[in-house]
Formats: sequence, structure tokens, C-alpha cells
Amino acid sequence: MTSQTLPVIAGDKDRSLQEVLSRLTASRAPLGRDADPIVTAAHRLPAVTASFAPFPVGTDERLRGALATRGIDQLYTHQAEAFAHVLARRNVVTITPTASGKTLCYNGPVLDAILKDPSTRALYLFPTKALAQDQLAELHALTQTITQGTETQIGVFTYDGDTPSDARRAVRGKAHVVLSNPDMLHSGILPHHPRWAKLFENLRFVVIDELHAYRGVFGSHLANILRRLRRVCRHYGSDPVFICSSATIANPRELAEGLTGRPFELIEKSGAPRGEKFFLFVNPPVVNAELGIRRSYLAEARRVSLEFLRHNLQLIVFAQSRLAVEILTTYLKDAFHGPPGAADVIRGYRGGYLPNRRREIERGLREAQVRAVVSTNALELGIDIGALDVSVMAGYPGTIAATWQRAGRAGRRTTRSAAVLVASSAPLDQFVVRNPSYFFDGTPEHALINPDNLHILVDHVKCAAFELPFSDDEQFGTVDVQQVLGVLSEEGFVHYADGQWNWTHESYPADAVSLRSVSSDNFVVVDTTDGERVIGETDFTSGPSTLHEKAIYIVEGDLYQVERFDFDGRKAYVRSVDCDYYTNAITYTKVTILDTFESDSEGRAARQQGEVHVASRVVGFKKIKFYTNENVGSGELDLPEQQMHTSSYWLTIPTAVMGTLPFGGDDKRDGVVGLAFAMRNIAQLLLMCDGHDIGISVDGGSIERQIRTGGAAAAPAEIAAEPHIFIYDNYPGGIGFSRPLYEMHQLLLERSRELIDGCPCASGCPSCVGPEGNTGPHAKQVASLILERLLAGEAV
Amino acid sequence: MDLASRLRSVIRPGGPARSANEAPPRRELTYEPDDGRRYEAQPDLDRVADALGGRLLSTAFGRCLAVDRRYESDRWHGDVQIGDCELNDFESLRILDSAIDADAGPQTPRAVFIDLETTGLSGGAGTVAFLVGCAYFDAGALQVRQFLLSSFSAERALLAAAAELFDAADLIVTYNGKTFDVPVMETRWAFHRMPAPLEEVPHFDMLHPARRLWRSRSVLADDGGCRLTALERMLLNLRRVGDVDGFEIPGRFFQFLRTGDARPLEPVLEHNRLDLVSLAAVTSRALRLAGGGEPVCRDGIEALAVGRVLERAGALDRAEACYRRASESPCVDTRAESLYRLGLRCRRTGRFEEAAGWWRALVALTDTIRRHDHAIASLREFAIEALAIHQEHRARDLRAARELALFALEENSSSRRADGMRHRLARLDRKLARKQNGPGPKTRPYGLIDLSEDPAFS
Repeated sequence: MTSQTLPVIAGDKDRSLQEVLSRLTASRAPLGRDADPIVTAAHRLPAVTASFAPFPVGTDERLRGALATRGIDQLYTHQAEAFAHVLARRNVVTITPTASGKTLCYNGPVLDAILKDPSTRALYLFPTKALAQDQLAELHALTQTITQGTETQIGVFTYDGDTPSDARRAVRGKAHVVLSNPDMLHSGILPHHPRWAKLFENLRFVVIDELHAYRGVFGSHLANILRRLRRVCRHYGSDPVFICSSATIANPRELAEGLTGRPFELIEKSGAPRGEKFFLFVNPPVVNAELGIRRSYLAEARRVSLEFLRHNLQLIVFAQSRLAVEILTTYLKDAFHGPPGAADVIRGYRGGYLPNRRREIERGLREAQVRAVVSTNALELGIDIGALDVSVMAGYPGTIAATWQRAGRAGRRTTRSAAVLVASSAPLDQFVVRNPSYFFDGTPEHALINPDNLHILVDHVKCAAFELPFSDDEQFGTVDVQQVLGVLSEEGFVHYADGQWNWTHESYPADAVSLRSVSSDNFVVVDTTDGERVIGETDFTSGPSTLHEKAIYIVEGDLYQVERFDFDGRKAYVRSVDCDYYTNAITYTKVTILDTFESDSEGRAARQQGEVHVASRVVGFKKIKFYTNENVGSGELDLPEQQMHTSSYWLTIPTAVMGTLPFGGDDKRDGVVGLAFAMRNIAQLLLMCDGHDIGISVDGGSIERQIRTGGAAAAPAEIAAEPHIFIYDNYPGGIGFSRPLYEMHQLLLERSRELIDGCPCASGCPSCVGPEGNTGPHAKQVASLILERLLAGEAV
Repeated sequence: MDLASRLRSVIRPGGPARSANEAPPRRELTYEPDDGRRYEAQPDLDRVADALGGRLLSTAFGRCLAVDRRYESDRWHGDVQIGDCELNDFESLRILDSAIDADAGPQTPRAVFIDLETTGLSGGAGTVAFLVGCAYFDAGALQVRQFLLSSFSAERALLAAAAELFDAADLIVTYNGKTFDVPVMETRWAFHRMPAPLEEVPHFDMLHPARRLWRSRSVLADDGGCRLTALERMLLNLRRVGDVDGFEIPGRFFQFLRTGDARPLEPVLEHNRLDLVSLAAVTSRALRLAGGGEPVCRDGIEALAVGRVLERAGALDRAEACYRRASESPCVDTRAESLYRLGLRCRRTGRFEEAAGWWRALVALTDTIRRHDHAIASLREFAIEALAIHQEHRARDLRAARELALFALEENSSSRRADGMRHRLARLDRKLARKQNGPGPKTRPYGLIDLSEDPAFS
């Protein structure tokens, strides 16, 4: 394609949008025989008008005046509701689509309270530093308008790892509102609470924005940090109200209550107006039906994006990895460039860019000089980039909630907008794009946490004991904390006397806890190409499978080969290489059942959940060629075994089903392994978790885990007469996936069947039971048959 | 598995997943293992007081254990006598720490030395000062009072008793107290929401002046920087015998809490007392140097350091006297730096010829050792440039200036200063050419020197 210059944005955008959408949907009925559709869904979401409500009686006039200068004379209903709950000191969680004015839900009542009583303090928590900075700018502007020309002072400060140490004292003294993040609260504020006495004595509000971000390990840690926060508040005699906002998830109230340990009011209905929105699902056409290979989704995303760009529409393109961002940015830049000498109209945006550059891009988007931005999930959360016309997603974001969130980055309050999801060939993407109702009509995911995971809990009991002694009748979560303290005292961490447990250890326990993982132990990657410099780190569990000797380690598209893996020293020494393959570790995993908590063998498929012992060892690796995914070599490895206790769900396939399958032993084995591959992906979909959050194992035997394709393939040597498929929490102690999976057992099997049977491939592909080369010729057929019989049995 | 065994598998070192037939890892205990509530009973306060030679004080918050020791004025501490360590020259404090206002407060302020022993070094709410050591001079003798935490529930009593003593102080003296001891105490008072008495009291932290005065000593560099024990060895010739190691101290306190046996604490108290006495002795030595200047310095190295401190505090004549003494030191580094500083002093006070003399001496001194040592090479380069400036602008000997510029470039053509030197050379060549061909040098009023075209002055 020849390079073109984009015309200036002008004219009727609505009409342009309509034109592009009709062009795209015209390809709905593709040419050729029984090819599957390219556009699998075209949904119209009707416009919604605003519903307003007055400010609560007695709202401070200075606040109302300042809002009036910004054209806000009344509130949306959800804002007014939140305001009223907070005034009545009720904890509240608001479900807020993007651009619905969620910040006023908390800034309103907080500023109102500060104006009425200047001793009032509030703590805002954001999952990232960037979001806190963004909110600081907004809050700052509002407080300036309020206090302009008056004696009133409202201190608003961020407090995070970037706050210079000489400024910290000022923040502690002057801030009415402290904007921070869970990491800083955990290691910088709570352990030093006496210095923050003024904040804690007067803490009336805790705001938790982007609540849905706190699930899994991170959420389990946050729940414990908030337990500690509430203990410290009790010490200083305060009892703050929690104000939370969340993207759409299935269980916002449950999550808020689980995180804070307090009852919550839920506000689900937004009063904000919304323009009409079109939502398209695009599935790249199959180019090799036998192998189930589709056209590259990045190329397809490029095609779709160019259509919109040519019609003068401003868009955001989401890609799933940093590498994909760079590739797509290059594609779009190659196709378009601005007038000579002008700023770039196509920009990339991802973690790792310097803050100044990010601010410049955000401004460019708001002012419409930037016509398209290609981003990782860095722009999914609430950074202010204005409202764009179109959101294109290259690859399914992984959850319904995140998909709506990304779609919401396009769309103004009154005009039309569009969102397009371009599916990759990953099983999850294929399931969603072929079953649009799962997305459009289904409930979004549950955000799950397990604050009483013993590993996480014990770490925070230590931190809590460091902060304040435990009394001998104190509770901390649902586990008997007195027993925890007893065992900690055996090891000398605490000492009991006079009815109290005191911290008796030299260490600073918060330093030993990493909020983003269960254990803070990790491996560091050292590049020795030119001197020695650290270029990355990997958590302890995935170290051996990604950093073993001869492994190819990839950072931002640069390839490195591991030359030496120092397991005991927790280091991998790598050197830059130029090669056309990557590596996949072969991991053998053995799962042993320790304890069965729940069991149900009604119907044909028996389900269980309980505690298991997982021993895994990386025994070798394969070399896989880029693009073609050919297997071009392999190697053996001898690495130490990793062990953990965790929780697991497992399915038992009864002899009655296995015995009557009209296939040989090897084919049966392939079928069970293929079924496990599909179930793993569906479990990930149902649990709203990342691929590495769960592990899978067949029949307590060995199974190879393919890290990058996120599935399982190949093979225990023999299949048992009554095989088990384990789906376990890939964290010591578990993070609470087993019970929900046990509950969703039926759904898990049904969805897996839909995935396998709905896949157009002939005999297995990476989108269903795994590529045929890995699973054997009959895997798909056998897996499908097993499911049919299991589900038929259920129905009886 | 029951909860307790699951907890043990999580909490014990060695990780969670250990199969039953594997031997448990050997643990090195720095404390006595404790099965929870074995030692629930309060330690017997009277017995503890007996064991440590202390007594019990009454406070509004209950009883607090205090240990008093008096160091009479004729007692030796290393090779100094306690009576000679009394601080009586408070003027000189200001020279060492400009934040201290010598005029405020009483004529003979009461100085209290403070040193803490704590349960950890990290700070934060879980770091407790279990021993608050204080010392002050009383009729020539040094009176030491240590408050010991007998149990966590007695902390308020300890804080109240310590606050009472600090309330009477006009000045507190610590070693690294600005970073550690005072914030720890403030945190403790804040934790118990008690008023903090140290907020208003002037605070002299001996660590920073000590670094300026004695860090250059190689003995100190070899001994982990400016630790108090290193200073006392060098300045007081004191060698501690059987001193308890710092890392052992929290463990001994924890053991006392668990067993009620106070005897392991005795060496900790002694360690703390020695720290306090040494702090007083070292501080008095620093004050004597600041007050006495060059005649009190024991050698050229000390004289150079004292000179720098005096210069910083604005005592310029006394600083210069120190530099002159240091310029005769047998130590080349000391000599080079003092020549450099003498040159600067003279130039700043308009004694240009004298300054040039010091630069020449510096160049001569460093002739044989140039380039081997970065610091010395840099001083030498500076001196050559300073001489070139002197010749060009003051002595008005353009040829001599040109020679110096060439010499400098010959020695080092790649240094930071080389570019400036090339510009200087080019300018000198232009001036010389003008002088030969043109109508003669521009005349300027006598004594007014135009330095605006010389980047070295901008």
C-alpha cells in the first residue's frame, strides 16, 4: 500500500461511522463454500438519556459553586445516590461505565466533608501510580476552583514510591486527601502509622477506585492490608466509610465486602447519558481448514483500523502484548503519516514509555492531533484521553469486564461510537467470537479473592503484629488468628505477655511481602552481552520453565538466550541472540490428593474439590519456529523439583465412559489430554483469571504444560481406567478457584463441549483441543465423545 | 492436616512442601524457642533491678526500671579523663553545626547525651527502644541513667520517665540521632499518643561533624566508615573488651522477655554506657578542635579537616592558619589539598601574587606524582589553569600564559578542562598577534581587569 496523508477531521462523523460499519458488515456473508462468517456479530446498543437528581440538601455552597462553573448544576442519579449513602455513613460501591462521572461519586462527598470540617482526612487507593497522578490533576483543578480567592486550603497529594523523602513530611502534615496505592499503604504508611497519626485520627473516607482490579492474589493481599488499616484506625479511634467504584463484574458487592470486611450498598444503575454504540465481532478467515489456521488477527486488526482511519475517525487500538503494540503501530504508521513536519498522528502507548511521553500522547488524543493510539491495557483504566470514536481490540481481552471497559474508551455522551473485537486463534477468543451471546447476554465474571490463604494471611499477621500488638481476644479474618500467633511465637516472631502478642523480631515484615504474588521469592534475569545489567525478573514458580538453560527469553521483541541458570542464587544469565525460534518448556507435573473437601458423584461425571500436593519438574524443552510454529528441535534438562500444597478441582471420568469408547488406548489418552486442554481454557474464561493462575494435570500423571499457548498437550504414557483431570490453583495455599469451579462444573463441561464441537477444524487445532501434531489424530473426536457421554449421564 | 501443622509448614523456614521422610532443616537459633505461653508470667521487677544494679522509679504510668552509674571526673576512659570531657565551649558548637543557635538558651546549657538500644534497625511502629541511655555532666562527673523496658506493657512508664529527663535538657547530643534515635523516640511517643518533649530542644548530631573531621583517616575507612567504636579507638585509644556485638542485642532482649532472666542484658547495658561515655569524649574533642583551631590539631591531616570546617563556618583566618600547618604535612594528599585551598583563600582576598605562589608550589609538589591519582591530577590541572589565568589577566604576561596553556594541553589533552584550555590558547594567540601587528594593546584604566571574555570566570 502506498503511504497516504490523513485528511483533517471534519464533517459528519456519524455518517462516516455508518459507512465504515456497513462496509465491514457487508463481509458478513463470506465467499466460498461453508466458510465461517468473518463478522460473527453486529450488535447495536441504543442510546440512553441522562437522568438527573438534585444535590443533597445542605451540600456546601462552595462546592456547588465550583461545580457550577464547570457546567454541573445537578447530579446524575447514581452520583446523587452515592452522595446520599456516604452522607449517611454507609459504605457504597458504584458500578460505573467509562465517562459516567464516577469521580464525582467520591470527590463530591469527600470535598463537601472537608469544607464543612477541615480536620477531615481521606485516603484514595488506585491500583497504579499513573492513575493516582491522573486523579491528582483532576482533583487539584477542582480544589483550586473551590478555594480560589478564599483563605480555605485543601491539601491534595500523592504519596507513592516517587514522592521525594523531603516532601513526605509535608504530605503527612498537610494532606486532606492522600492519593496512594496498596503497595505504599502496605510498606510505607501502615508500618509507620504513628507518623501518620493526624491522618488516622481523622480518617473519615477510604476511596478504592478500580475495585475490579483487586482479584486473585492481589485482591487477597489488599483484603489483608485493609484489615490492617481498620485495626490501625481503631487504635486512633476512627472508622472510615469506604467508597468504591468498579467496572461491571458479576459480584461487585461481594468483592467490596470481601475486601473491606464491611457491609455495602450497591449502585448499579448509571444516570449518565450514553450515545448509540455498535459492537462488531470479527473472526479472521480460515486460510488452512485442515490445520485450523486463520489469517493473522494483527493483519485483520490493521485492515479494520485502516477503514476507520480513512473515514476520519479517531480510534484506540488495544493489543494484548507490548510486542503486538509495536507491530500494529508500525503497520498503521506505514500506511499513514501526517503532513510533513507535523507531529505523528499514529502513536503507540504502553508501560515502559516515560511519563512525559505518555502525557504528550494523552494530550494529543484529547486535542485530536493524534488520530489513532495503539495501546496495551495501560489505557484500559481511567486515564483521561477524551472520548474517541472507535475502539478496536486485537484479541479478546480475556474477560467480559475488560472487554466492556476497553469498548468504553470509545463513545461520547451523545454521539455514535463503535467497538470492534478481532479474535485471535486462541481458544478463548474463538469461543467468545463464535458464541456472541456468551458476551452480550451473559453475566460478566466473578472477581474472586481468598484473603485467608494461609501464606498470604500469615505474612499480613506478621505485618499487623509489627504495627500494633494483638490482644488475646482479637480476630483477623476467619482463620483463628490466636493459633497463627501461637505458631509465630514458636518461631520467635511474637511474644505473648499481659494479654498481648508483641512483635519480637528485628525484621521489617512488610519488606518480605510482594503484593503481586504469593511468595516474594523471584528470579532475576541478568544480561551479560555487554557488562552485566538486570533486564527483568520472573516469579519463583515460573522461573524454571522460562529461564532454564538454552531457553529463549524475550523482552520487547529482543531475544536473549539463557546461558546459565543459577537456581540457588535465583539468577539467570542471558546473552542477546539472533534466532528464529522460541522455546517451550516441557514440565512434568504430579498431583496427589491430600484431602477431599467436597465430592459429588451423581451423574456420570464425578466432581471433587480439595487439597492437593503438586510436584512439578521441568524435564526438557522444545524449539518452536516463529510464525510457522514448527517444532525444530528439543533438549533435556535436569532441574530441581518444585512442590506446593494448593487447592484443586478435579473431574473423574468413570470406567463406564472410558471403557465403552470405540478407540484404542493411545487415542483415549489423546482424547482426555485434549479435553483437559479445552477445559483449562474454559476454566480460565469462567474464573476471570490469567493463564498462569491455574495449572492442569491429567490422572495424577504427567502432562506437558505449554506456557505460551496457554494449554496442555501430550501425554501420560498410559491412561488410567478412570482418569482424573485436575485444575489446580497455581499458587501455594490456593487463591480460591477450586470451590467456584466445583460449583460451575456443569457449565465448565457444557462450555468445553461448545468450544470443541463449534470449532470448524477437522481434527484438533490450537483453538480447541490443541494442535493435531501435539495431540494425535483422534483427540478432538474422542474428547467430544467423552463430553457427550458425561453430559448425557448428567441429564439422566 | 490440622491448622497448626499447616501453619507450621507455612511459617517454618524451608518452605511448605516437605515430605514426611525428609529430615527437617537444621536451624541456627539466636533465641530460645518458645512454645507460646510458657513464660506468661511477668518478670519479677525487683529481681531484674537487682541483677542489673538498678532501681524502680514511679511514674504516672507505673513503675520503670532505671540503672544509674556515675563516672567521676578523675576516671580514665581510654587515655582521657572524664573531667576533661565536659562540654563548656558552646560557641564552638555553632562552628560544627550551623543550625545550633549559640545565643539562644542559657549560658551554661545542660546537655544530655542520648543513645538507644532498639529491637530493630528499620524504624516503624514495630521498632521499640528497649533501652534509653542518657548521660549528663554533674559537678564534673558524668552521670549515666539508663531506662530499661521490663515488658511491653511498661513502655508508657519508660517513655514518661525519659520525657521527664529530656524536659530538663537545653541541648541533646547523639551519634546519628537525627536519622535514627530521635525519630524512633518520636514514633514511640506518637504511638502512645504522648507529647514529644524533644521537638523543641536543639539537637547536635555528632555523626556529621565527625565525618567532616575524621573520615579521611584511612584507619576509619578500613573500619567501616565513621562508627563510634572506630572513632574511640583512634581518638581515645580505647579498646573494648568483651563488648557485645550490635547484631546480638535485639536477640538478648527478646530472650530476656521470654525467660525473665536479665543477666544476658548486663553486657548490653555496659555497651550502651560505653557508647555514651565515648560520645561525650568524642564530642568534647571535636569542640576543642573547633574552638582551639590550629594549635590544638594533632597533625596536618587533622589541621586540614579542621580548616575546612572553620572555613565553612566563616572563621577564615583561623582556617587559613590550619591550611598553613597542613601544607607542611608529610602526607602528600594533605599537602596538595591545603596548597590548593590556600591559593583559593589568597585569590578571594585579593592577594594574587601570594595565591600564584601556592599554585606554583602545588604544581611543583605534584610534578612527580601527576596522573597516578585522580584527585591529585585534578588539583594539578586546576593549579596550572589558575596560573595561566593569573599570567594572562593579572601579571599580563601573555607569553607565560601561552606557555602554561601549551603545557597543560601537553599533559592532558582529553580532560574536562582541555576544551577551555584550547579556547584560551586560541585567544592568547589572537592577542599576541594583535600586539605584534596592530596598533598596540587596548589600554584599560589601571587596576580594572576585564574578565568577561574569560569563561573560567563566568
